[in-house]
Amino acid sequence: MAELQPTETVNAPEPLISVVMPIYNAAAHLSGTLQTVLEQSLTAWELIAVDDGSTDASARIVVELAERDPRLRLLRQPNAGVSVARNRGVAAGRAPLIAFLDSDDLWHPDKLLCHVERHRSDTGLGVSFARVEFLSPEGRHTGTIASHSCRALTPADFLYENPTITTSNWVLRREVFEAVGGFIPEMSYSEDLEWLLRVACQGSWRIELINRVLTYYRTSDGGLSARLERMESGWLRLVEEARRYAPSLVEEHFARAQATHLRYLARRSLRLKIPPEMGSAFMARSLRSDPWLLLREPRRTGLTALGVFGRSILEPLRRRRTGSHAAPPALAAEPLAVHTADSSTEPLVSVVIPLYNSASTVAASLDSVLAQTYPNIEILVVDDGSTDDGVGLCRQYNDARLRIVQQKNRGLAGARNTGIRHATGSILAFLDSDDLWLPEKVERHVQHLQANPVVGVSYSRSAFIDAAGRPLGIYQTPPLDGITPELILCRNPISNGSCVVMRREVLDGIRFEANLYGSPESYWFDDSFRQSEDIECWLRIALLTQWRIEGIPEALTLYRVSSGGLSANIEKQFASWQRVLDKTAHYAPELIRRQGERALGYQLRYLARRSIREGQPRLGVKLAHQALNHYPRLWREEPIRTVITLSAAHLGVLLPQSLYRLLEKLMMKITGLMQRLKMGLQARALSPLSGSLAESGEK
Amino acid sequence: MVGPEELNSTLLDWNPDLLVWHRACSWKGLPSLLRHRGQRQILFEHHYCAGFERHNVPSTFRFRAMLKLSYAAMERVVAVSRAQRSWIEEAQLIPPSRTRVLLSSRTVDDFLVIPAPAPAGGRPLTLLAYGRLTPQKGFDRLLLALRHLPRARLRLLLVGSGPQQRELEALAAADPRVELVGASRDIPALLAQVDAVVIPSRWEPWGNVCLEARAAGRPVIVSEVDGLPEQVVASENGAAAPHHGPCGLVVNGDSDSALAAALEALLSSSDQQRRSWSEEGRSSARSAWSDYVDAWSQLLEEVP
Repeated sequence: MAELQPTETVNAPEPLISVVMPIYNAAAHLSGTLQTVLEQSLTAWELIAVDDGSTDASARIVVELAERDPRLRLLRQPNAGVSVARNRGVAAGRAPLIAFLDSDDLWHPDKLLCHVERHRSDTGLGVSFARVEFLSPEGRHTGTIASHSCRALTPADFLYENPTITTSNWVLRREVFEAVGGFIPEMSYSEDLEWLLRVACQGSWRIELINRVLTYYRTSDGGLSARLERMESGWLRLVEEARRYAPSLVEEHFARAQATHLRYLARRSLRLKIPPEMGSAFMARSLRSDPWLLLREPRRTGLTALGVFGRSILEPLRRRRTGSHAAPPALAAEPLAVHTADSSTEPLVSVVIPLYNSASTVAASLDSVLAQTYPNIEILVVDDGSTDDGVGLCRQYNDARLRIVQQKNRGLAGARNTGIRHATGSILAFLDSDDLWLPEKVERHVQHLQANPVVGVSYSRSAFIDAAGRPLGIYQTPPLDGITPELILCRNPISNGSCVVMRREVLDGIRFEANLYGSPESYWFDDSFRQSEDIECWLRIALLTQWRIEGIPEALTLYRVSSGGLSANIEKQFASWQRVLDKTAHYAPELIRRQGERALGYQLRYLARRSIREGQPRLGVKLAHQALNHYPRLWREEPIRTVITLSAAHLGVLLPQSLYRLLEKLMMKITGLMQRLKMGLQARALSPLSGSLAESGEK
Repeated sequence: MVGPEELNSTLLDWNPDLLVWHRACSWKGLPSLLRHRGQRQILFEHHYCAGFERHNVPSTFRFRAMLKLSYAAMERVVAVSRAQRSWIEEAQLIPPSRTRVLLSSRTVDDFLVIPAPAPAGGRPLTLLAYGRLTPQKGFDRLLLALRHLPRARLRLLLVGSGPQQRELEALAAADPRVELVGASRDIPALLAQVDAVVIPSRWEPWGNVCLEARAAGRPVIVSEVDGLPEQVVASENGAAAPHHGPCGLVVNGDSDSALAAALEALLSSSDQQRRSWSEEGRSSARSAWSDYVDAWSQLLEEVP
């Protein structure tokens, strides 16, 4: 319907200029770009967007606008490259002038007006272009404006660097396009230079600058090394074409032009995060192609060479220096910026697995990570000085996503910290080497974090499994929202170290510098805790940052219950928990004053339950009574749980072992049933709102 | 105001005992600094800081070389915030013995008399952000963060003018909670209307806006850059930097969602909490000006 020509229109006069916009997966910036067209002071334009087989929402964005503004049209084609798309757009237009606009660049509101007037007053002008300001990848103005020489352009100029910077900067007469032909279909780099060269060689039209910033060109810091190689082969194709219609020109300029182009690629490599060797290779070839370049343009060439060679010398040094320490702030900031840029798609998730003498379980844990449905992960196994062969098992995995770091024993917190130090993802997930994940674990948490920008820490519920990995049928079902420091202190909803996934920024918010092992390093978890290190960390997150902590209802973590593990030593555990209180009291005295006793009550009752489960009912009785002495309101706040704990402890002492085990099994069955019921109900209640958990305050 | 030539001739006539520069250093300006090498010179560094470097400097090496050469001509370089001083020290731009910190300030009497914000009592809070509309001030991030909180009840006054105006208007167009107001001279009157102030800057060597907000008893949300956090939290070395300070909140991270999380924390804070931020802010700003004057006279005594 958009192709229909209205027979009678009031507000759509004959367009003066056709704007041709090739689009390929450009949803991120497309609206902003289209907006600058809609805001043009000259209104007599038509826009022909050519969707080159995008797989994202690009086409929809154009269609929605086109419904409201008849000046917009959308053509679609299976992916065929930018040149084909532009040629097709030009053919579909009808105005005497043509402008191109790439889907991530922006225009000054007077852009079309300026160009149209220039063409109107100067009929010998074939292509006009303006000055260009560079935008950062996020679209911020940088104030850097491309330099132009003021002299008239000659054909040779188009063999060197693109004097017009970008196609988005051109306005040309339709007759020029018809006379020299369109872009070469299979070229997608340097195709613009090649076309300009054809115009320049033809000699009937001038290509001229309008000395005013009218176009804003977005630089991108993404991009792969492969792109530089494709750019070079694109330029070589340009030369090959040029040999046909201007052989003497190519003969005369090839060496110099190639040197300039290679220097351009070398400079570009500085902006990309690619191995520095590649940049220095481009630069070396450039100087070999034409050593005089250094004399002719000493500043530009010298600086590029200095930058490129400097980087390849300094980079290994810097890497070595920062290998074990925290990255300096400038460096730490850079990867973040890159990650935020593509967070709309699939951010990298770093999975940190501390490994300490768990050869019997680590393979299963690792398998459960490799089986994740979420594609973009890296895995960091941190061997914390194991004396068994867990690392050997991990080494057998031949998976590029897996990295293994070894260190002298520092404890669980220390191993997690080392993992964080090496992680490059914008999201981090933790998995202890005896626990397992369900395959959709990471995917669900990433969804949760993306749908709720203010949530920094996302955790799931957990199902218990026994030493052999069999489900016990009972779960950890903590509350999911309204998480306060009080709640963490008393009822720790992030029940174990394998259920939590968080943004890198959250960790940055609680980072501290210390010197624990001979040189200053960054810490997130507190290495001085050998137990309760996680609750201590969660507390700092809740107290020192503004990020919301929120859970998702599914039990996505399988938590292995084992007796005789680290947690078996109840007394030690209690002592380190009390140290958590002391530490917290330093920076949040008010909280501990108000909630200390209550937290103590809950902690003692928790330890009572643990000791019962581990077959020490006498200790259980003692602890349960202590809990009630410290905090009698336990009766009122959680009567059922308290009664169950107390009676289980007493029965454990009174009943013969066999009878007690039977009873315990029965109770576990009932508990499991109730928990499944609760989770099922919650999942159903939440499912229609999936993705907007955060905004639905109540359930 | 005098031009550079006039300045040079004045300097020749007067032969001053001390030159105090408040300008931005640059390669271009280097010769003129070096020209006065024989004289005693102090530079107030109002322009450059870690955040500036991070957002604007293509080559840290070149930039720092320029600063080192400029600072070398100075008897003293004055940092306007503690964070800026640590940056200068870390980058080793000048020996520590020649740097001083003079926390930037202005007279705040007009702000101290503004009545404290009224308790909210269920009405939506009014937030204020003001300054020149440039990318430095990060107002675009603030508007993006508000998009993350579509249901939050609040009003945002964005006051100022500048090159980013069109962009910000476009960003705010669909949000009825945001009001863009052109530049205003009467900042105290503006502050009197609002419950809190947001300062989402990308870099800010010190940030007088934050001082003004504190003096006016308005809780603040500041981004975690340069001179801003130290105005909001009492920074103790070694400990993790807390993001809940006595005078407001420091955004934890530099993404839009980090800012959204801080906004949400402010919106859901209790009246009592906000009153405490307000009171602490005011008391922290009360002596700012006299401290500044004292520090000045101390500096002058040091340089004979």
